Amino acid sequence: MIDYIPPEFEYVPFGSIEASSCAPYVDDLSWRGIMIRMPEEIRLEPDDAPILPICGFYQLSSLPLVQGAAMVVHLRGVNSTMVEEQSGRVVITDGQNEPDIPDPAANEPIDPELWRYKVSTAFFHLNGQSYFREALSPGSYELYVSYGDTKSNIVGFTVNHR
Amino acid sequence: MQDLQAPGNSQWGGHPSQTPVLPVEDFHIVAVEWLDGTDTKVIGDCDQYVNLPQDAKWLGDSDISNIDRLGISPRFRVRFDRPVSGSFKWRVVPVGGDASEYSGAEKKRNAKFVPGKLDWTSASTCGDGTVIMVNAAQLVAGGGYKFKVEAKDHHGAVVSTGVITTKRLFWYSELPMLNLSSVLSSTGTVEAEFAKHHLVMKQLADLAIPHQQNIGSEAEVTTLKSNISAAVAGNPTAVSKAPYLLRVAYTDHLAVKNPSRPQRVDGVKVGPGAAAVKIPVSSTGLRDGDGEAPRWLWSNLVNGEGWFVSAKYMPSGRGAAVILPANKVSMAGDLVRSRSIEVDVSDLPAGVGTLIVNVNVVDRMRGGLAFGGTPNICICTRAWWNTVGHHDQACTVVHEMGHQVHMVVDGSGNQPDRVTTQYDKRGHVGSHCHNGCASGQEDYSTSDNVKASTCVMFGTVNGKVAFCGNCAPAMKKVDLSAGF
Repeated sequence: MIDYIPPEFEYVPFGSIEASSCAPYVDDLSWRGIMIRMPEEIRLEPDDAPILPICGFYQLSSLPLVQGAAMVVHLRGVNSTMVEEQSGRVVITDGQNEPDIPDPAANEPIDPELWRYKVSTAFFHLNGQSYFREALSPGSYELYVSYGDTKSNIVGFTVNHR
Repeated sequence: MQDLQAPGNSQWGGHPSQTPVLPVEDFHIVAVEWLDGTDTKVIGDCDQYVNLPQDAKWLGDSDISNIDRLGISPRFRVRFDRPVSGSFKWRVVPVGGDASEYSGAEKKRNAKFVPGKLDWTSASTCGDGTVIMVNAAQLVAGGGYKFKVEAKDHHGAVVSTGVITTKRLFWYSELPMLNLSSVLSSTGTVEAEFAKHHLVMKQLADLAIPHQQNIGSEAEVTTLKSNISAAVAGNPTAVSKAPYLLRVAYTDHLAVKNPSRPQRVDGVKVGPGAAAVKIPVSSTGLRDGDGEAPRWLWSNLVNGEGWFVSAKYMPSGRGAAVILPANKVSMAGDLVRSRSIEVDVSDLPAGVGTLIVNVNVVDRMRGGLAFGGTPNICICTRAWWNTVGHHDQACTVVHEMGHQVHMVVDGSGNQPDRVTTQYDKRGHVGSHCHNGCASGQEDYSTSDNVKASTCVMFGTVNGKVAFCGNCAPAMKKVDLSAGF
């Protein structure tokens, strides 16, 4: 059992792209960016596999996204044994075992003019630990999410063993 | 030479007190032979179906002649030239040998990966000069392995059985939905691929199931599973083959809907005379990592399910939002499928603002499904509104059957060591093989990787129908004795 502070992060709808109580939201059509929220502290047993909730919202120009931008989670230790910054691309890690049939139009060229004024918005709920090579050890960390050239706010959190 | 006699019918009986004691030099070993259906009928070189229990119920629809050809421990008989109770030694001898021999770790994980007994082992005949050895020799769970038994007498004379070759066998039934436009016409390619790995497939009669336009939601999956189970339950032959029966359902689309995704365009000029606004459709995917991408509208896939949800116009500044009726929003271009919409904004008051149209989109289309924990697999016959070619259907059948036979093994449980190019949770869910692609990638779901991949067990349908060179040894080794 992992405890999160604040406790609302115990009920994160991982994988959902809909709004949730833990996800931020910016009610401003003119805003562009990525906003994330995370627990301030994670308390777990030494044998627990860490789960690192990242609840987010983005409102970005669609063009760079549909041209192949990748979402990446970045982590650095502030006061921890982790020496090097870690980053991991957000890839498919959960769901059903199913071979997709590629979209026959997937490689069609993107017409920048058509996409010029298009704006994309979505929520996301990630387990950040899925994208790091090392399991989080006790310590203090900072984390942000990038999508293409856009970076989110930086969030600090601590991991403690009970 | 003495006639063969079955134990128990011997004039000498089987009691040690009645056994004549002859000088050791007076009897010699004559033969060691695989038994083949009775205590007196023997066979030379033969195949052994090691995954099936030694029970006559598995002989039907198998072309296997008798229960001696079932199981991992075939019976064999040793015979002397005299009706004596005499000692001898015997052992199991692997024949040939290749790179697919089991590793030490594999042998520790699964006792059925260990042949035995490989060392000379003492035994003796009954008083009639023969003995039938039951559950003595053990072959291995894998297929394509060759063994013989050697036996020697006190003179050192050695005799041996014919060569026995291990195979695995399972049955399958195809369950095409009614009224499909194009179902895989022949499973010859599939059977040939599995035969290369010493897996014999026996096809039972087709069992039709009701048509469903699409399998996407949990409810649709539940209905499909229920239909499959009902069809099988109504066929006694299919029922009798469990747990060695795979059920291959053929469906229409396997599309997944991503509902009510906002399509937003800023800076739109509206009003009398304004041109219709064309909006390219895009959405983030339903799976983490399926990022924002152009998407097809959810159209003409399921009767009664449309793509349009709602639309509104929000003028810049303080004006109130205007709800747009469905008849102001249309698919652009193609009437069957499209990746863009057009919005008629000519009835709106002149101005500039933002359009937001919520639409249902296609998240992805699957080529097949392997329902974990069941013997069901599901093959789609249509994708992206077109018929899936028979070659691609065959590829998917091999892929999904591959999952059912534990591919791609990751070295866990009682299965073979991890295939070196095995991967999971890096762009595809489930255990797959990235042979042909660079190792160590975070995301194997890219189109470049689809092109580079060389194994049917890659995570996306890639046109390959064969297990790659890395997977082939595991296919040979895998233990299917538990069935599906």
